[in-house]
Amino acid sequence: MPMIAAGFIALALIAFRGKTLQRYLTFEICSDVFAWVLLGLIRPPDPHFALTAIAILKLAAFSIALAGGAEVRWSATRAAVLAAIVYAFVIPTQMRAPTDGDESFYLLITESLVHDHDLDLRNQYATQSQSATGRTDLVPEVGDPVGKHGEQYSRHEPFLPILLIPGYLVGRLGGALVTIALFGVLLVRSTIRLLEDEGVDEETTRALFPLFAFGPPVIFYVARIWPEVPGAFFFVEALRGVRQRRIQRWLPSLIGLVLLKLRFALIAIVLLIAAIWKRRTQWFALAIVAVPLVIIAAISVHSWREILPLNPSRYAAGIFGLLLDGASGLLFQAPFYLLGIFALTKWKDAPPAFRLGCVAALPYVISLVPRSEWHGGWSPPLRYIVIFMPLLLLGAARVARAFPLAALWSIGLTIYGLAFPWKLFHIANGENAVGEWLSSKYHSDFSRLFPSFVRLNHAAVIASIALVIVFVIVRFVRVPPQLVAPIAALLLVFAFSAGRQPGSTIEFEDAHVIHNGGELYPPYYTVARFLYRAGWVLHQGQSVSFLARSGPSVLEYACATPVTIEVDGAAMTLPPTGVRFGTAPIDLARSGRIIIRCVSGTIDLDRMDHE
Amino acid sequence: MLSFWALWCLNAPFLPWVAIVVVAIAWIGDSTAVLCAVPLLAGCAIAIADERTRLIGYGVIVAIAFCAAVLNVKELTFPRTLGFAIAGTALVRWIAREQFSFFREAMLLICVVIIVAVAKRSAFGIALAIAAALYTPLIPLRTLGIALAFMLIAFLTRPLITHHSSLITLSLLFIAIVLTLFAYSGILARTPRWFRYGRPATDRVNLYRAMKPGESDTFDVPPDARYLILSLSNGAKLKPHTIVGRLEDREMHAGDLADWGFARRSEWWNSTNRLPRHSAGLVRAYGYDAWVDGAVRFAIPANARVVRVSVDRRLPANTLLQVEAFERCR
Repeated sequence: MPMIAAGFIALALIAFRGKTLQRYLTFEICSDVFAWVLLGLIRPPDPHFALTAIAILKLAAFSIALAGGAEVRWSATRAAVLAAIVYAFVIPTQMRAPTDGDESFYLLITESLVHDHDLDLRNQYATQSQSATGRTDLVPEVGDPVGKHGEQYSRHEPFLPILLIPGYLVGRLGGALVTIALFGVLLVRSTIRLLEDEGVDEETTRALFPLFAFGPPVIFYVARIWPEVPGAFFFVEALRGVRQRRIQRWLPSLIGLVLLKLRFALIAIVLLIAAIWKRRTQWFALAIVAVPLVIIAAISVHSWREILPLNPSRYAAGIFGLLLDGASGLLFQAPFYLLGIFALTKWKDAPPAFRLGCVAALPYVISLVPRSEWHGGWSPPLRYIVIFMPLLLLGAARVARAFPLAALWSIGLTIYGLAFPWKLFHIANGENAVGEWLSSKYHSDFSRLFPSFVRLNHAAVIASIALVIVFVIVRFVRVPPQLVAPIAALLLVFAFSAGRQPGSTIEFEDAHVIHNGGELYPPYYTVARFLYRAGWVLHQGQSVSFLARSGPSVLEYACATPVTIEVDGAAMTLPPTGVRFGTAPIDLARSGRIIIRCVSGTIDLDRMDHE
Repeated sequence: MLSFWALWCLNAPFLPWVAIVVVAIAWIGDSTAVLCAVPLLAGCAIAIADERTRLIGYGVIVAIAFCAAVLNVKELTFPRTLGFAIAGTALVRWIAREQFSFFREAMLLICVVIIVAVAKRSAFGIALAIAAALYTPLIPLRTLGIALAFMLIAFLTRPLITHHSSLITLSLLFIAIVLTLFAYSGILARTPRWFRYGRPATDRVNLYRAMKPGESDTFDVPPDARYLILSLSNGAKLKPHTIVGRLEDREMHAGDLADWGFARRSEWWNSTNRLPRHSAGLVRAYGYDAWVDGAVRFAIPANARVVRVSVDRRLPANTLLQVEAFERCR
């Protein structure tokens, strides 16, 4: 608590002066007293969560003072310093859990470079107890390249691990995270400069800055070893460089972007074309960018074929998923940036950098959305589009000035993500954290109320149609701001009421189902688990209990031998389905809690659809 | 109306009325952002199961909304200051009331108006008005003198009241703490000690034995029981040093115990009891009607199979020692 208080005093001393500073410092003392009283009253079972919540709420209050204060000292560099102070507190929160997802492998490559001066990870895998990753269960990822002499390489580009070397040498994992946080600080500075360059006024910039720097998804990546934050920094710098026609800015940025991740090359190519268009003297730049592109393409496990057009329906699922998905979409994971998407409806009025950035992003997005892993896989939310957050910020700056509900949701997400960083990694199973939590709390299917494009549900279809309608009418209809919060409350209450009723589809592996024995299929950490048809396996004597509607339903299941189950007390024998899933009609006499018990055999219950 | 309806649908006690007050605060403070408190209240009602945490959660939301609205106004005019003071009074006194006297509350409201008028349209004035509303039980009616005392404070401090930021912030801190506990405002006003020391005895093995003066009895101690829960009946006016009886070898005084209902608004002013440090009372009712019963936790000797309780014969004849229950600690 004293450290947090000191941090906020430092923030105030940097950002405020005169009476605003005096007022803020008084507020700081009073808010600490209030927090202390509150902690005494509630006696929270998880003090870390309580402290995180208090710190984030105080940061929100600081942000309001920053946006509306009369005597504010403001510049891009000051914004970067503010971000640096906050990120210094974010780093320890992310170190409460071991590294996860790709970051463990990036760190292994760094360790290999530092200790062995090579990219062969065999000895790193063999001596994981000495690694700073905090993991001892790492194995090579599927598809990792293997050398002629059995060398075990990683699929990840080595540029990020190279960047991490100085930090790693100073402070191992902590040092590596500080390196990423420094890129975060640079990203904040560059983004503020981008807003200034594009004519966004200071008042708006100050209001938007905290949502960008201290809000999701940037805050979840500034202290994690992923290439997204450095990538976003290089992207912004390249965008600014191209707009300013400064080759010394855009050329190194594009090289950095391409070296970080091959997929970023799709962005770099468009920016490169924009930079050299009708400028003969800069053709040599093409050659300079081409060199790292060729190198990265040569060592990457990816293929150019991956960007060829696929099934059109997958484009729709991917694009709407990125916007609306409960677990991986902007609407629920960073709602503020959805306003940036709405800037597309005012294309002609949008800042030139926004339009250029959107055009540059297009090939990347088109190649991303049809992929089965459009949601980012095992990573914090919005992984693949973190790089575009500065761009969406720029768009949002032109569309909206009042966004209290989006800000509130962002505050909640930030508290959640910093208090429980390991929970940011959510398996792509069609549920999200809120839905799962409510479902397990009330034993009713709340997850179905959140759009899922991983496991397409009715909410996803409704949300997609609603979004299209909003896109169309947003130019003509304006909802009075006084009605927004009450309508949100009403929707929340109706959704809660609906969530407590039985759903039309029961997914047996979901959190609302009470599992009395049995196991998840496929297992939780199966690679690309979202490609499988998941279910819950019951053996003899085990059962599941759930809320269901009365009337005819269809049970989808798989079993190798005949299985006898008991549905709400009535026994029925199901024929074997072989390697496929089969269906069986079920007629429920009543609505309410139903138990399916496996009397004999083993069965994989996939879902039950009410007809 | 939309906010009221939304929270009405939720079937949460008194929450729709809180929504009405929040909307009024947002209107007075000219801030649509403050209206975000309405969905937050709904979210709080849905998400938090533990009642104490949930009610304090409502309080935190309302307190922040209130302070934000006050800070949002560029100039605290008299109507606005009065509006805030009345909204604060409504939250502290009028929400979730079961017993309501319009005449008495109207008198208090007049006092609130006068305090705001005297205190120069400042946040300090709002804080004084809310304090008056909080600490004036109005039963008996002569306690209206407390509100008059706050009017006097407002008058005396009038020359000192400036629009100095520290005074505003301190006033808002007081308002925030009071409003955070608006669902327990009765307890805050009469037995604030409960928030620090109170630990309701919920895991009870009930005995319900009322012992008259001179009586003595032994009780079998159930497994896992660590404490005996005692309270007094008709003991609200006993002096603290009065000997009540004995628990095994320990002498119990009136100061160690409390009358079961001494903290009720109707009883409190005439009672000489103070909430004991080891209060085990349960919270009854909400808002300004909220009170905590006078049950007290007494440790019983380790490994004791029976425990003996005796009542002093010198106690007034109508005073009873209530052996309520054993409390288990698993």
